[in-house]
Amino acid sequence: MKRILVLLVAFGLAAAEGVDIGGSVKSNFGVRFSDLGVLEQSAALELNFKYDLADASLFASASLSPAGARLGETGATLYLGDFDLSAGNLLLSSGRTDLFSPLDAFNPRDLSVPLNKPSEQKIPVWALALNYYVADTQISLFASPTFTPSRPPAGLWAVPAHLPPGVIEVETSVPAQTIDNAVVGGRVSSTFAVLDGLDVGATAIYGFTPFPQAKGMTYLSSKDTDANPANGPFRLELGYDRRFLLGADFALAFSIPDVVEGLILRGEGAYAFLPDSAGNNPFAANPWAEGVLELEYTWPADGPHLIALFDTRWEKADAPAPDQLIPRLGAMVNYDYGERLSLSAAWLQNLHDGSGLLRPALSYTFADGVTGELGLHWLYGSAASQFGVWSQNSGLSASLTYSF
Amino acid sequence: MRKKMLLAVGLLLAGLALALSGTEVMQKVAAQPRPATMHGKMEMRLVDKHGRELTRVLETWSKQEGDVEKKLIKFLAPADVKGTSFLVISRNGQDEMKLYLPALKRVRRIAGGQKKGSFMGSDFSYDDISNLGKIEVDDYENKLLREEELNGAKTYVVEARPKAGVDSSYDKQILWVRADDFVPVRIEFYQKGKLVKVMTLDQVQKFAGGKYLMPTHMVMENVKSKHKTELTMSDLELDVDIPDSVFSERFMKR
Repeated sequence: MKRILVLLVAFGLAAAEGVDIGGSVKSNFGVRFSDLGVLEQSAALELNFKYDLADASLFASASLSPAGARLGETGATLYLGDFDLSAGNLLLSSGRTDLFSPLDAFNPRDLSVPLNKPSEQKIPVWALALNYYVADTQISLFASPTFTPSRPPAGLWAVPAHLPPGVIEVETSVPAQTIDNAVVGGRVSSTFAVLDGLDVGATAIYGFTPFPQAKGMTYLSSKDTDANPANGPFRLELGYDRRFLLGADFALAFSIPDVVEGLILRGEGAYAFLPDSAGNNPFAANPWAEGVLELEYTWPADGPHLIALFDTRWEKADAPAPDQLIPRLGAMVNYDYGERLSLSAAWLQNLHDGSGLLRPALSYTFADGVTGELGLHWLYGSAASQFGVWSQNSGLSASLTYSF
Repeated sequence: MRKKMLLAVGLLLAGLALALSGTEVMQKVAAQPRPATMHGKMEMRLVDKHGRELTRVLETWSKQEGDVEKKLIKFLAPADVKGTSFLVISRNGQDEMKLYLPALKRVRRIAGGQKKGSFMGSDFSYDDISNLGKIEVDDYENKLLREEELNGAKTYVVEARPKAGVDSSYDKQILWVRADDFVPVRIEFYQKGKLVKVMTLDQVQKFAGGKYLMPTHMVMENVKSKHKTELTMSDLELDVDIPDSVFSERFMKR
């Protein structure tokens, strides 16, 4: 909280110097269909400031809500010739695809409300980022001195835990805040004059799995009542494995003469190297790979804007279970009816378990900076499926945002 | 009587000899000196048929080097789109367009249909914005329709139709070009033979001691929806040094 207060004082001082200050006030309300219960009710004030000097930029943001205060992206960037050096609580981005972007994995995620916008789920982390620009190529190196775990779905969105028989305790170990647990990465991206334009990139991130996984079971003899160690009780130990993520992405603009013009094909592929490549150790994470291919098209003359995508994720299973292949389809369509009303819809379908999400919404701009949104989210599938696990939370939500 | 007729025929012939063709008018428009670089602010006022308004404020940079034209536009207001930036690099008539959305922290390549779509809800399309002040005479069949007085000034009315193979958002444009300085002051845009938009350039100012004539206020009106967008240019700096690094993904993110 002190940090936020300092920041607010800084805002005041900054205002006196005439730097760029802004922010937003946002309120949300959501109700679920199953029992007409309140799914979410929140209000938040976000403050941002930015101060540009000739060769540097200072920026800060903070969010205040009844749930508490959070420091947002805050830090400084130095512009040193062809280099940029940023330090602070940073949000970094890599990859190119929407809805699923396996390479955009440097920042942990806050999935406590899994339906929040992906950009709102990113948690800034203390990091250093160095960018080097030469011609049409950008080379980035980034590092966070300590590991920050992601936040799993919580509250009404919490996924029921299925503990192994005999487990009465769960203990999670977070990697120690030492430099040898740093998260480091790099990215190279470049642009080429191929067809109507081609961007390609490659990313490598040496970090940790975002969520913990089973690392072992400890027999709790002092709490045993039947004197049979085979029945437990046990403590399940959870931990984070080191993960090396490697992948590439592209965006290609092209046209099919006399048929269609202005198509964008994007793709992203990633492979996660994890300790148990053979799937022999139930207490070590197994590798996975994910590929996304998406096609974007905008109908001419202010027609709708469509993104259709296909995502496939392969996960190595622990022997003797067969490896999992999870194909998913997705689509996003957006249509601006004038400058005030925007209609959109997103659809995700897990072809492996049959679950899915359908999310139509409309937003309306009442005045400059004042926007209201009304959205419906329908989650379907069995209780054990990716989206069906939240089917009781299907509902309606509304928000009003004033940006200043 | 015969003398008068001869005089009239003589004057008519002299007039015909002096009259300009549509192509010549457009060549004179294109021959107007244009600054190699430009930096300034642009206020876009979006007004619907009920008179309700939304405002966008943009900062623009542009640079022309041979066949390469670069333009960068950054949104300063309203707050919910602040930081969004739009880069266009045109090489030999081919446009490369990219959009930076600060919420995503990603630069997105945009193409095709989006070029012909509305620019941030305004009556200008991405193409209109990237083609502001750009006249490619050879890409059009230009025909002088008539001479006409508009707002007290003599104008040439020229019809410009894109030649086969030229990528244009419109199948016809009719331009009212002032006869004294060859500045277009009104442009009608047609699609499928129908008038869709009218742009009025109602304020043209002299810069650099009169070297340049630049429109500083223009209105684009959608004929069907009666929606209009007013564009006001301010703080214009012409022929200032703008480094190439401005027209980059790096600068879009700054």
